[in-house]
Amino acid sequence: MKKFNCPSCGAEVVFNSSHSVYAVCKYCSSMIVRHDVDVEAIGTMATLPEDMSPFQIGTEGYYQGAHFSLVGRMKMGWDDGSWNEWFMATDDGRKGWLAEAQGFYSICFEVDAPPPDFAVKAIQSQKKDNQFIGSSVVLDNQKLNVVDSKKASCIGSEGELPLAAPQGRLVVSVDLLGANGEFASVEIETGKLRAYSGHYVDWKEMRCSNIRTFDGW
Amino acid sequence: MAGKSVKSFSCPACGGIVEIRAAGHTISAVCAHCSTLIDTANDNFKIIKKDHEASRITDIPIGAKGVLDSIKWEVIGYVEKKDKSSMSYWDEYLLFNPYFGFRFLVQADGHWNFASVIKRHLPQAGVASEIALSGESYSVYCRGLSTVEYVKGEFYWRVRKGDEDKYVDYIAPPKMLTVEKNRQEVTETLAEYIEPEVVEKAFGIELPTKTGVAPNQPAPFHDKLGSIWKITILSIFVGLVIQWNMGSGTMVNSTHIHIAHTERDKTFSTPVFNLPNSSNLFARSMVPVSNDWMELDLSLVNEETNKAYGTRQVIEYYSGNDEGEYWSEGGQVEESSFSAVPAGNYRMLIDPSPGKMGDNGMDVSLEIKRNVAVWSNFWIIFFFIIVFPLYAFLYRWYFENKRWENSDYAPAIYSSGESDD
Repeated sequence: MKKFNCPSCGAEVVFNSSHSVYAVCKYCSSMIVRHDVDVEAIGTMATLPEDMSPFQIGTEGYYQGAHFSLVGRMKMGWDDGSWNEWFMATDDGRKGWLAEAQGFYSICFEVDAPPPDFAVKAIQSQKKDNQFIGSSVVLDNQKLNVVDSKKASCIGSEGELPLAAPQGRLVVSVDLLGANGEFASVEIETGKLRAYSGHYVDWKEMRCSNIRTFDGW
Repeated sequence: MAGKSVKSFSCPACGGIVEIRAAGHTISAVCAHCSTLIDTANDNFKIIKKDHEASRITDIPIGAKGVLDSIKWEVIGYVEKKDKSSMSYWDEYLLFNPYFGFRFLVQADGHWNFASVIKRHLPQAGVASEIALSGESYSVYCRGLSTVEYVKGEFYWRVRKGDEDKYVDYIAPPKMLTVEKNRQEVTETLAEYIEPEVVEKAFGIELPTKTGVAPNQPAPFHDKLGSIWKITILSIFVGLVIQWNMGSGTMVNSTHIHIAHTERDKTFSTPVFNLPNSSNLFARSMVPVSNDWMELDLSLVNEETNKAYGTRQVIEYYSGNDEGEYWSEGGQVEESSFSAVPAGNYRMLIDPSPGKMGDNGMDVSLEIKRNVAVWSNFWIIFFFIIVFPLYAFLYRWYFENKRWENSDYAPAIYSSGESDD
């Protein structure tokens, strides 16, 4: 855990995960980027739109027996809606994300990215209907199939993240699915590829605590 | 601090308040006041389509909450769909819970299904006629093209009247797997049949009665047919064993009497004999009549209560020689039965009425046995054992025929030859 003072308001900014390089100050909404020894403010984050997500920063849970806590969120938007990517601090120090879309939850960890031609095909698939959707890919020793490929941009972020996620950050996001609920996603950001592989998980299975509550629920 | 569970905004068409129950998920919403379809993917609230159709009343109202599968759900959307070729209609209700996500309640002909989208890569889904999923085999039931006829409420996908989806239904009662394909994506939904009463109870409503047989409606006795047959076969076997053990019964008395020609009107009696438990009784008389007859009135009398059980035996035997041909008719033996005689001490009174009877009188031999196996009894029991399983089997067959009646993919044994071609 590392602590800094917000360059803008002076409040304490905590980086719980060693992977975190970016944070949004919870007092003044300044976006803070961490350098080797100091931090720098790169602007102000607008308020995230309200949603019915059951999670919040500080929600804890379990994935395959291992404890995690949510330390940051990136809200992504695309033509047909939005989804949340929650950055997890895990006890084993792996770089994990809990994705939340259309009432489905998946937990993924960063794995070796596929070769660059994957990105080329994914970007081409945005322009015209081709054979990319449905094609099979081996990622992290798992055979998966491309479900969709979409252009998305960051609507907003909060907490701490392993990458800078200012509003408008553009990516191409590819979702992949296995025969037994394996899930993976590949994010392409100006030529850089990041791959995350894991599983769909049930709400109950995660045994979450410190969750959000809603009137009437 | 509990978050607000409803987000609201002003309808861009009529200015009325539109409520969103699944904020963050909902991208299409219909204004409850003017039926305008609004894009809610972002806060610009663009009008997708204005509508002047009056808001319909649905079986389950939007905003109703109910517990299904021990989880509370709120009804947030309603779509009416139609199959383009069969012109059959069905309802789809979208249910939401902020923790458990989305489910569907689907209604057709008064039959209900509780469904959820599944995230599995099923390579042959929509193509193959059999799909394996979680150890079960799903058979294709119908392929069609659905179109959206009416929308109300809010949705996490873009919906509008006239939207078309290719769909394939696979069944493994009580489950159904539906594969839907449109230009953007393939969606697989797994449904399970639920009784309308369960939906009624969950939402405190009354629903129309169901008609016909639904594609994935569980057949009566669907999980019991195997055990029904096991029990049946076991019962028949036990019946046979009892039957064999009883065999030819136990002799309780054997009496010889001589009727002198002066004793035509005398009544004879066997010694007292004992029946240790309630059983049937067989009395077998042998009278060596020849071209003569003998009538025996038998009375089985209980020594303690004097209760009598009567029967009459007529023994006649005739034979002769006509033009060198020997003939005979009747017999010298007659048997009568007394069923379910209670335990106790008995004697048998024999009141003979002889025919001609010569000077030498006549001999009568009487054998009395108890617990004699009676096959007619066995067949009656057999009939009672078999009637329910047979009914279950035939009803099941009838039910399966009904199920496949509306399908183009009925298994050969259920396609009754009424094909359209």
